[in-house]
Amino acid sequence: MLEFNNWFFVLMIQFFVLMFILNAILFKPMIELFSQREQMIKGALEEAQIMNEKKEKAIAQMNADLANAKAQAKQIINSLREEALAYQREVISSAEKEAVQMIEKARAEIKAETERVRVMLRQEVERLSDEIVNKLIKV
Amino acid sequence: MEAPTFLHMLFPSIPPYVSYSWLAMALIIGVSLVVKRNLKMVPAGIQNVMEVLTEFLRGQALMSIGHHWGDKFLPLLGTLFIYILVCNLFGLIPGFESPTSNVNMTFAMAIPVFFIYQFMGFKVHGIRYLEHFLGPIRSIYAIPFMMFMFVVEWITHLARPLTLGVRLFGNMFGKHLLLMVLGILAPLIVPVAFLGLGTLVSVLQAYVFMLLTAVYIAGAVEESH
Repeated sequence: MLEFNNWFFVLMIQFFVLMFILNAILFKPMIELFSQREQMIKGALEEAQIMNEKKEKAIAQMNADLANAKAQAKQIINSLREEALAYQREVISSAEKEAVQMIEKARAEIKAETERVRVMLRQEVERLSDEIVNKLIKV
Repeated sequence: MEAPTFLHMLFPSIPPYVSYSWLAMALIIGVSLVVKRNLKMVPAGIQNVMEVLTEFLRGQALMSIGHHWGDKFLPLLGTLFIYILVCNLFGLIPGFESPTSNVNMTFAMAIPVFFIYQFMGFKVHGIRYLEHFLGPIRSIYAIPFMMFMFVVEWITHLARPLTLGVRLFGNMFGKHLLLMVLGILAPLIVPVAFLGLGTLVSVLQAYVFMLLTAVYIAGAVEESH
């Protein structure tokens, strides 16, 4: 066990042989697998990052759309309100005008009626005075 | 004092530390093939175990040697750890022998490690790699000191494969011997505690061998100070 012999060379050669075999069947495939796995994880992380960015963008876009729609709705409501107010004013002013016209007309009618009654009364007065005169004359 | 082992009885012409190292290799290759055949992105079953092991070894390699060289030396460090671990654990199975309790086996890994890291040093730095051996002072007046440091550093470096081989061999042989003696003296309960201790030593020695190799390689490929 302490003496060197020719088996030493056999053992040395077989050590190198084992090293080459293990390199080919164990260490190289393992390192390749590790690097592949690393690449895969890196790719997946990058993909996740891209998806995250997409999500952020989509959320921002959605928020912008929402704000836009809100603004648009507000604008529409405001314009409709303006329209309604204008219509209301128009209706009120036309009603007012109509009322004024009706008052004017009634006033004119009253005036005409008064005139007619007055003329009629005058004629009646004249007739009555004539009658009184006639009666007095007869007497 | 050698206890008979199964493989030695099957193949008497082959020493057990060689036949059991082949068994270890067959086991490791077999498991690796099973894992490779069913390699999935989402691991399941034994792939989990091998992935944890490989990731641990890769982490050690990257941490000790650095990101530039870590993956390149993973096969060496990984093979060392797994092979030594399996060989060490064989010593805990009755009727098996741990191949690492023989110097031929431990030095068959320690000496290649020495040549590999020295080769990497020269490959990375060229002739300037020798600056690693000249000590901390660079001055024309320090040439005698640098020459002295050169000798001292080489002694240190030459001691490395020796310590690597002897440490592993000593631990495993000691464990083997202790378990055998205890098995004879108190075969009932006492060896159980030492089997636990033996498992710890087996894992630890495989880790130490791998880590020291990583440190030596890191020292060779880094810039000299």
